Amino acid sequence: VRARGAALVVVFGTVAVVAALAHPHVFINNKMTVLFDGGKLKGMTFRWAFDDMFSEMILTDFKPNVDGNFSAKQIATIKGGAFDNLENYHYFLAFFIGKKPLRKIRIEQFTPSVVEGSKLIYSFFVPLDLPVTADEQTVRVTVYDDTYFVAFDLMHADDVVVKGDEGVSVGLSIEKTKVKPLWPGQYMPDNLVIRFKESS
Amino acid sequence: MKRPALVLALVLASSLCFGQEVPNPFTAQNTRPRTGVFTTITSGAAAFLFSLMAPVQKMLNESLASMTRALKGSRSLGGLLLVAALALAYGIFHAAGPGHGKTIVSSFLLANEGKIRQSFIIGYLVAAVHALSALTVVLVLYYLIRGIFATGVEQANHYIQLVTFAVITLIGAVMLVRRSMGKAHSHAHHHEHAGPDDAQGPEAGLTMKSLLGIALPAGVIPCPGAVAVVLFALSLHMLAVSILAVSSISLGMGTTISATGAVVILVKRGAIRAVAGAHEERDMKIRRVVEIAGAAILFLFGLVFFLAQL
Repeated sequence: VRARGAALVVVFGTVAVVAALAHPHVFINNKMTVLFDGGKLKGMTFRWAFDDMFSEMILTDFKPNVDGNFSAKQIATIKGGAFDNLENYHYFLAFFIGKKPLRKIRIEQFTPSVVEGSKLIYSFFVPLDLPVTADEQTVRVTVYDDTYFVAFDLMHADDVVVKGDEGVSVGLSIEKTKVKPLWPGQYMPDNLVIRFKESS
Repeated sequence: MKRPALVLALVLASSLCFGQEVPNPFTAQNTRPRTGVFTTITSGAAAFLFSLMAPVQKMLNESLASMTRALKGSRSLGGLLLVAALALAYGIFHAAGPGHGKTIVSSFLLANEGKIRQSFIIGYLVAAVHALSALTVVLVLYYLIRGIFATGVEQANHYIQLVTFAVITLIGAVMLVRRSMGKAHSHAHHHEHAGPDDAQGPEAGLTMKSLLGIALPAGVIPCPGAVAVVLFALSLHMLAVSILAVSSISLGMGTTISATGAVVILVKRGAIRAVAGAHEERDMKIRRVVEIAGAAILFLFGLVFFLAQL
């Protein structure tokens, strides 16, 4: 009898785990560019392509010009109405410079646009300004919404390109996050690992 | 000493499926100040399932959008059926995430002696109200108010949630007082009734009135998924299709919520039987503990989210 009760608890536990899964309302495909310039890792550009439904919802409120572009004034309105609040979410970004987490994320060049007539794109630049040295340095970045409102596509190697890396030796890989889990088996999203130093 | 542990495990496991209502991070204003980097509560098994489910949901979302768009050009019966089927699947998956609806239904079923059949009534009722509410909010904002849509949804949500969680807190409080003072329903007595639920007296468990009473507040917060689908169809000037889609989503969500409710009832029964065995007295005692716990969860859940809305 006890075994049967225990089995039921296990079944319920499994259901609970399934229920704790994503409940996303927004789907984003994320592409990244790692930019080097003048002996520095200048920063990273993120390009978020939204799903059709969320695109429609934002574009209902913020209409672009006929060519799919937004004016400076329109960009400011979108930024205030449908982007700036992400500061409270670290912009869904977790950076680690070496072992140090980046506490404050700055955003530059926020640019919304519309492609294929209906798909909303956000792109923005996160400055890092890390001098390239003879010693190898490591930057890790994870893109992830822990409230599950937004589901990011899983990270793939071809989601990231490197630019301006003349004279820099750069290694990219995707691995499990180095953030320590709070308990064994906790779900941790993948992260992009950038290793860079002066090329000899 | 295994038995109290089992009850504890039951309560802990059920609390796991209790989700929260999260605002849209993009359009909310100054919500959720954050401290840590990661606060995710998901287990290892979920990591695997997550990687499977997120792409499925994205695929459903995209197919639903493109099929709806295709219908604009040529409205065929096959196309309509396909949209309905996709919306149904979308609803099933959508309701599988953490949400306040399942929390309320689960704790309500823990606190009361419900039947499996009633979990289906309550599940589909909650889903119907959830989707209807979304449809109403979108139609009102889209056709009557015509302001900034996302802000409108957030504001409407705020007021609906304020009232909802006040009502939930009240229901939880009343139930908590009743369960703490009164006796739990005896198990033996439960088998004596064979008639239809709504014909039973208040002591016989859940009446149709009490099912409606909990389904309304549990469902009335508009489903954000349904809001997105309706708005999408409306922007293509397809009101009828948006109603078809929202009905199918509701049916799908109802299936998931009902199944969750049925599991709660089965686990509650199984656990009580496992712990109490044939002891009638112990059965009553444990049943009472579980029911008080359910009422307490309902009350606290309502209170926390009510305070969060102030």
